[in-house]
Amino acid sequence: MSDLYSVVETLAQTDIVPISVGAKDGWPAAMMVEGFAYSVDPECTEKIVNGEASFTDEPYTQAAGVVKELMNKGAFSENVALTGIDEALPLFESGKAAMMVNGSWAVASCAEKMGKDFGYFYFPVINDSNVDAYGKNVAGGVKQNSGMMVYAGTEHPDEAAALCEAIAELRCQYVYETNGNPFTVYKADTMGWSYNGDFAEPVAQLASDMQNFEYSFGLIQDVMPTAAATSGIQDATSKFMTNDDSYTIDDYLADMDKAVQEE
Amino acid sequence: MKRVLGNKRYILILSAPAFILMAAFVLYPLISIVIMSLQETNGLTPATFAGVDNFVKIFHDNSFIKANIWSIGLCILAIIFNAILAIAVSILLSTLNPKAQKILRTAFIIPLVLSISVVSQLWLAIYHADWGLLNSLLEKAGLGFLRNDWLSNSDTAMICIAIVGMWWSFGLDLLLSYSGIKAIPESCFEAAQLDGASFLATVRYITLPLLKNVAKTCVTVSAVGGLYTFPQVYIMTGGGPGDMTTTIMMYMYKQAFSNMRYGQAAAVGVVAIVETCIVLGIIGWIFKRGRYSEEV
Repeated sequence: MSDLYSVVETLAQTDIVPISVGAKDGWPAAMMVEGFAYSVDPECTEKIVNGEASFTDEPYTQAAGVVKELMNKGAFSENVALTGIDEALPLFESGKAAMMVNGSWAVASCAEKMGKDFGYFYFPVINDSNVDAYGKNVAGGVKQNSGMMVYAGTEHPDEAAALCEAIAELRCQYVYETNGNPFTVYKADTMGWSYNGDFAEPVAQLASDMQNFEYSFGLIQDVMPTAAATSGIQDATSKFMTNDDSYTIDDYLADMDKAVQEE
Repeated sequence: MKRVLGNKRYILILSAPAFILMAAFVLYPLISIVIMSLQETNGLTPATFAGVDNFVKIFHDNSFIKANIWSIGLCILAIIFNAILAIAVSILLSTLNPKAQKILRTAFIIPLVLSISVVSQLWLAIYHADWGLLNSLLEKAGLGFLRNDWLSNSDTAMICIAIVGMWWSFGLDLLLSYSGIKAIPESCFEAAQLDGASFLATVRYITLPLLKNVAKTCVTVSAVGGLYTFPQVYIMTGGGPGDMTTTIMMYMYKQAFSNMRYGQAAAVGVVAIVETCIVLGIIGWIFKRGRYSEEV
């Protein structure tokens, strides 16, 4: 973490934005806080969703503290609270921002656009005692709240489900074989897919890293029990990113706990 | 023609299309929203009757109370800075020479020609904390200490959004009031001039009384526009950060499409309709009881 602070302090003296994040949309910033919290306890989010813990516990409290510290060091742009992902991504890809908070879904496209100028790293561990866990525990994986749906009143449910599966398979095959993105829910070897060429270095590295992940649970914005809870945590995080003195870490975490209770 | 209009059957037949359209696009949605406000529904699963639960929930939500306060504030600001200011400006405008009147009238109306979406994007570029025009101008003028996160600072965000709406719709009130002034017979002003009335006396005793109905329209349009502020909020801030710039319409939108709480969103809609009726009632009462009431 001290390395990250040091880099941020150096970059903050230049015209380059140290870290680009689409805080207006809420979920990128919430994902960032979660990423830091994972280094304290990777099961923090799952416990909260199951009602066994709360956001005011140690993992998220420490993580919020880190983000607050980053804000105070000028890690983000002035307008970060109103910068959406559609502004944050071009900021990074154009080189105006040194780093960006994003997910593995962006690795392949960024590698393609930015070439050798692109690389990735996992959220740094907050406490040095957890450094061995770096890059081992990640939020994400198969999304529980997105995909294709079949109309409940259809007269052909089996055929409809089969069609959805076929479309999903074709899409993943296209993504793998044409776009050179190996991150699909299907195992390419099993499916007999092949990509003519070499995967970009970051892509190949991430594909290799994934084999060593120890723990994974869905992203915070995807695992909340209700849509209102998701909306609540996104709004609270977006407000936290204003770095307003009147909205403290305690206020933020209290709002997050309130949000997760929303029906 | 007299035979047609005197026959009730013809009146019913000729007005039927209007009634049907009104029933389809006004009455039916109104009744539906009232029914939905009494239900718990997420738009996917069957609705269940919830009584007044939705209303209780929204009135217990601080965000809803705050959104109401912001919306009423925007309503008042719109009345002052759109309707009243437009009437004052149009009175002054009518004293200028015709060429100046034409140029200034056109200048004031230009924003109205643009869509609110375009206007919102334009002002977003002005207010942007990093590369916006406003902060750049302040820096160049040596007023860099006034730089601000205009749209993410709780002290300035809502005022900035209010300015966008008022800037955009000022031309409409100006156009209405200017047309109203031009419709006043010249003989009234000539008579006042002959009697030696001053400019202020003319405005007070001739222009304003004869402009009363137009003024009422301006105030009504501005009030409702302010209360229902939504497009610029949605485009510029999305109601955020958090609920910092959430108006009642934005709150309703979020309840429906972010939180999947259609019943509560409908309850917000019902409350908004009631508030609108109250505002319109107050406006009607003020203009009825005004010093220049038609009964006097």
